[in-house]
Amino acid sequence: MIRTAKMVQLSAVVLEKYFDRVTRELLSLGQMDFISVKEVSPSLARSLRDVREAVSSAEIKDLRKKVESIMAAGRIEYPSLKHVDIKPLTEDDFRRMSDEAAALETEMTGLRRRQQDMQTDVLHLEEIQKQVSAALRHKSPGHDNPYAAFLVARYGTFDGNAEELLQGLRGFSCALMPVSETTLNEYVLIHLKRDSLKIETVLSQTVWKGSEPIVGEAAVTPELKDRLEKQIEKTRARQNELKYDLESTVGNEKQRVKDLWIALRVGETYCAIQQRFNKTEKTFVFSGWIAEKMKKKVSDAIYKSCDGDCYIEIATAAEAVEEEGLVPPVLLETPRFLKPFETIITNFSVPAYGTINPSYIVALTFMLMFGLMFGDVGHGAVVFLAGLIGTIVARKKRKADYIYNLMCYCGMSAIFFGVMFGSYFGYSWLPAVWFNYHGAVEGHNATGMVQSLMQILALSTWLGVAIISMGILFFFYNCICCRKWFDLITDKSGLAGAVFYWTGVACAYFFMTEGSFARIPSWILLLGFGLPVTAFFVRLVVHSIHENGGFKITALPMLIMELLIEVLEVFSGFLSNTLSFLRVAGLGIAHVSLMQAFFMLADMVGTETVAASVGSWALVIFGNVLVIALEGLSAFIQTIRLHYYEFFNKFLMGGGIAFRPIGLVDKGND
Amino acid sequence: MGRVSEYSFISANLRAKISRILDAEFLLKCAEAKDLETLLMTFKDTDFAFLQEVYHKTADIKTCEKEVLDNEIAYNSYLFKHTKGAVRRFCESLALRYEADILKDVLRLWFDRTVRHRNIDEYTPYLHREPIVHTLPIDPILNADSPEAVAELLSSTPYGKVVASVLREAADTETMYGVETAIDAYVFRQMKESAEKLPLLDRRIAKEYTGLLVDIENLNRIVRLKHYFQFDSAAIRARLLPGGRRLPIREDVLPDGFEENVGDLVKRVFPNGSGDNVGETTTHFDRLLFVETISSELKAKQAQKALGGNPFTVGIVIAFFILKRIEIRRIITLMNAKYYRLEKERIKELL
Repeated sequence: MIRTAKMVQLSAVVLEKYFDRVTRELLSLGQMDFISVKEVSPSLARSLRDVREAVSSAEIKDLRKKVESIMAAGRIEYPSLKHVDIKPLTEDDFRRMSDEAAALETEMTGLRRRQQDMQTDVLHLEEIQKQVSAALRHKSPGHDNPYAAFLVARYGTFDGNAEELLQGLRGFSCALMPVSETTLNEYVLIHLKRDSLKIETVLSQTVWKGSEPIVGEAAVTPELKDRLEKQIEKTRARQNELKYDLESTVGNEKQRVKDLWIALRVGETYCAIQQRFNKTEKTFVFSGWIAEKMKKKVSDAIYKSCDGDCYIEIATAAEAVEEEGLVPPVLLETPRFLKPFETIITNFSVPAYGTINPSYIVALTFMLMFGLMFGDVGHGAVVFLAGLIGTIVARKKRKADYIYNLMCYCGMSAIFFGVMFGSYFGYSWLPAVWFNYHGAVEGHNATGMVQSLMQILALSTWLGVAIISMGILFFFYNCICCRKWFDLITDKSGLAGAVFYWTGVACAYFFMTEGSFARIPSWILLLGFGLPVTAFFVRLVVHSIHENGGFKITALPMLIMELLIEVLEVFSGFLSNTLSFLRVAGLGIAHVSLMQAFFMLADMVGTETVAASVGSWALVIFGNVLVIALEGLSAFIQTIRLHYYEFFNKFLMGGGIAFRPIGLVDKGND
Repeated sequence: MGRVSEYSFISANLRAKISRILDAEFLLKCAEAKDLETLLMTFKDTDFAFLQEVYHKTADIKTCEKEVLDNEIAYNSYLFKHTKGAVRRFCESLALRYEADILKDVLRLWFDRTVRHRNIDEYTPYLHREPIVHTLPIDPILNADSPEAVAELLSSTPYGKVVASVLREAADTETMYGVETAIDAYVFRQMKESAEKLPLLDRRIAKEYTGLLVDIENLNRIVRLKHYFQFDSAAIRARLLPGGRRLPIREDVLPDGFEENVGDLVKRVFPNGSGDNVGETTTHFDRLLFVETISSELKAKQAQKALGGNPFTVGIVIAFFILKRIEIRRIITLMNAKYYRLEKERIKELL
C-alpha cells in the first residue's frame, strides 16, 4: 500500500481445446496486462504463430461504434457489464448482429429523411419570415419599400391534397397557409418574386384557382407575419415530434440494442485477449503481468479451466527485469475513496515501479493546504454540496467524477478549518477552536496561538519546511527501495541536500528570532554546509568520469564552476520552494480580507431603510459568491501547484508505465 | 510594457483556444468512422460536440456545416472585442476573408439565378447573414435583376467600387472568376494596408503572413488560369496579385511559354520539402487539391512559427486564424465525405 503493488509475470502454455475456457476466465477476472511473447522471447518467435479470430476485432469495433451511434440517437445509456455471459462471437453471431443493426439503421434512415425534409421546410419558411419582417420594418408611407418588392402573395382555392401541392413547392422559399382556421380549401401562398415564373408553372399543374398575385407592400401585413410565425412554430413542433419518433423507435428496441452492445463489447474484448495469445502446433502460449496478490487466484483459475492440464510459470518482477529486460507496470493500490488524489499524482507522472505511492499523504496534505487557504464553514459547505451534486450527475452520465470528488474533499476540509478558525460565511458566529483568522488579519479580537499576520506567515513557512522535509524523507525511502545508494547520499534531495536544507533552516530560524546565527556552533555550520557541498562535488566528479570514461585534471576548473552553479541552484531552489508556501498564508489572508471588504461595503450601505437593508444583504451574498468562486478556484490551483512543484519534485521518480489489464469496460466510443 | 498589456489577455485566451483545436492526427483517426453519425459521436468531447445534437434534430448536413461556419465567424467578434487600434484594424482585415467568401457565395447565387436561370432557394437559407465587418445587403442582392442594381446595392460598402466594373462583364461572359478575383484582390490590399499600420515587430510578422497568402492565392490563379482557362504566361502574370513573398510577378518566375508542372513550380518557389508527400497531379481536380494541400501545409508552418515566437505580438492572432480555419475546413471535409460515403483512404487524402 505504501509502495506501488508488487507485480509478477505469469506465462502459461495451454492445450488448444482449453483455449476458449482460459480466455473466458482471463476476461472475467480482468487482471492481466498482456505482454507479447514474441517480443519477450525473440528465439521463440519463429515457432509461434498469431491467432486468427473468426471475426476480426476491428470489424467488431466498427459494428459496436455503429450500435453506439444508434444508442446515442435513441438516448440509450450504456448497460453495465457486470454478470454478463462471456462468450466468443462466431461468424454467424456477427452476421446476425450486423443485420440487426442494419435493420435499425434502415428504420432510422427513413425518419432521418423526413427530418431533413422538415428542416428544409423550416428553413424556407424562415426565409419568407425574414423577408416579411424586413418588409414590415422598412414600411414607411410614401416611400419605396425594397424588401416588400421581393414578395408576392397569392390567394386562391385548392380542392386537391394540400400535401401534394406542398411537395411541388418544396424546392422554393415559400409559405402555404390556410386563409383562416375555419375555411378548409382557401389558401394564401407567399413566395419570393424571383420565383414567380417557376411557381406559376407548379401551380398550373395542380387544381389551384387563384386571383391575381399581389406584389409589394400590399402583400405584407402584420397578420400574415403572425400567421407565418405560427406556421413555423407548427413545423418546428412537427420536426421535434420526428426527433422523438426516432428516439422512441430506437427506444422501443432498447433491450435489443443494449444486448447487441453487450455482446459486441464482450466479443471485442474476447478477441483482444485472444490476439495476445500465440499458437504452436497444438498449444497456445501467453504471458502477462498480474499483481502479486492475485497470482494464486489467476493461476488457480487457469488450472481449473484446463482441468490441471497446463503449464504455468511465474517470475517475480526482479527476475523478469533481469532475465528478459522487461519493465513492470505500475499499479497504485489506493482505496477507492482516495482515487481522486491518485489522479492528481498520475496527472503529474506515474510513479516508477517499486517506489512510494504517495496517495495517502497527498490526501492529507491536499486537504490541509486547501483548508488553510479557504477555511470557512459556509464556503466549504457550498463547495461540498457543489461537488456532491456534480458527483451524482457525473455518475448518472457515466462520466469522470474525480474532480467533483475532490471538491467534496476540499469542501470538507474547508468546513473543518472553518470550525478551527471560527469562520462562518465570513462571520464569527462561534468562537475559534484553534485561532481566530479574521482577528489575526484585522489585528484585533485575535484569540488562540496565532494572533498576527506575521504569525500566519510563519505558520505557512513552517508548513513548507515540513512538506519539503517530508518530500526529502520520501526520496530517502525511494532510493532505499530502488537501491540507489549513490543518489541517496549525493542527490540534492538525498542526504546531502537534506543536511544542506536543514542547516539552512536552522540558520534562518536563528537569524529571524535572534538577529544572527551566532548561537549555532561554527563546526555545525561547517559540517552542515561543507559535507553536502563535498557530496555534490563527488557526484559531479563521478558523472564526469562516467561521461568521459575517466577523470581528466583539465576538467577540474569546469567541475568547480559546475559545483558553484549547483550549490547556487540548490540554495535558491530550497529557498524559493520554502517561500512558495507563503502563498498558503497569502490566499488565506486574501480570503479573509475580501470578506471584510464586502462587510465594510455592506456597512456603508447601512440598514436604515428596507432598500438599504436589502442592498446591504445583497452585497454580503454577492461577496460570498465571489469569494467562493474566485478564492475557491485560486486555492485549488495553488494547492495543486504546491504539490507539483514543491512536493512531488523532491521525491517522485516518475516514468512508470500504468498497469492496464484487459477486462470488460462498460463505456463506449474508445 | 504596452505590448505585454496589449497582448497578455488575448494571447492567453487564444493559446487556450488553440490548445483545443483538433489536430490532423485526431481528425485522421475520425476518418475511420463508419458513417456520419459515428463520426459526430467522436466529436463528443470536443468543441464540436454540439453537432451531434444539431444532426439529431435536423438530419441536415448543411445545417451542421452552417453551424460550424457560424461558430468560426463568431471568433471574429471575440477578437474585435479584445483588440484595439491598429491591431483591431488588422483583425478586421483578416475577417474580411470570411466576409469576402460570403459575398462571393451571394454573388454566385445571384449569377446562378439571373444568368443561368436556376432556382437558388435551396442554398439561400444557409448563407451567413450577420454582419462581420460591413453590412452586406444580402437579400436585396439575391433579388436584384441586373449587375448595375447589384453594384448600386453594394455602393454603401467598399465592395461597390470593386464589383461595379467587373460584374457586367461577368454576366456577359458567363463566368464569375473575374468578380471573385477582384474581391480577393481588394481583401488582400486591405490586409496589406492594415499590416503597414502595425508597430514594427507586428508589421514584420503580419507582412510575412499576408505575403504568404498572396503567394498561395497566386499559385491558385496560376493553376486555374493555365490549366482551366488555358491562358498564356503574360495573361496569367497580368492577373496575379502583387506583394507575394516567394512568388513575385516576374518573367523569370513565370516565363513565356512556361510548361512547368504545378508540383515542380511549388518545389521551386517553396523549397524545404513542401508538397513532397503529394502524388501525381494530372487532372485539374488533383492540381487544385495539391494547391489546397500545399496551402494548408505552408499556413500551418507559418502558424507554428508564430506560436514559437514572441507571445506578445500579432503572431498569436495570425496563428489562431490559420489553425482555426484549417480545423474548420477539415471538419467540414470530414462531415461531407462521410455523408457522401467516400472511401477512408480518399478522405485521408482530402484531409
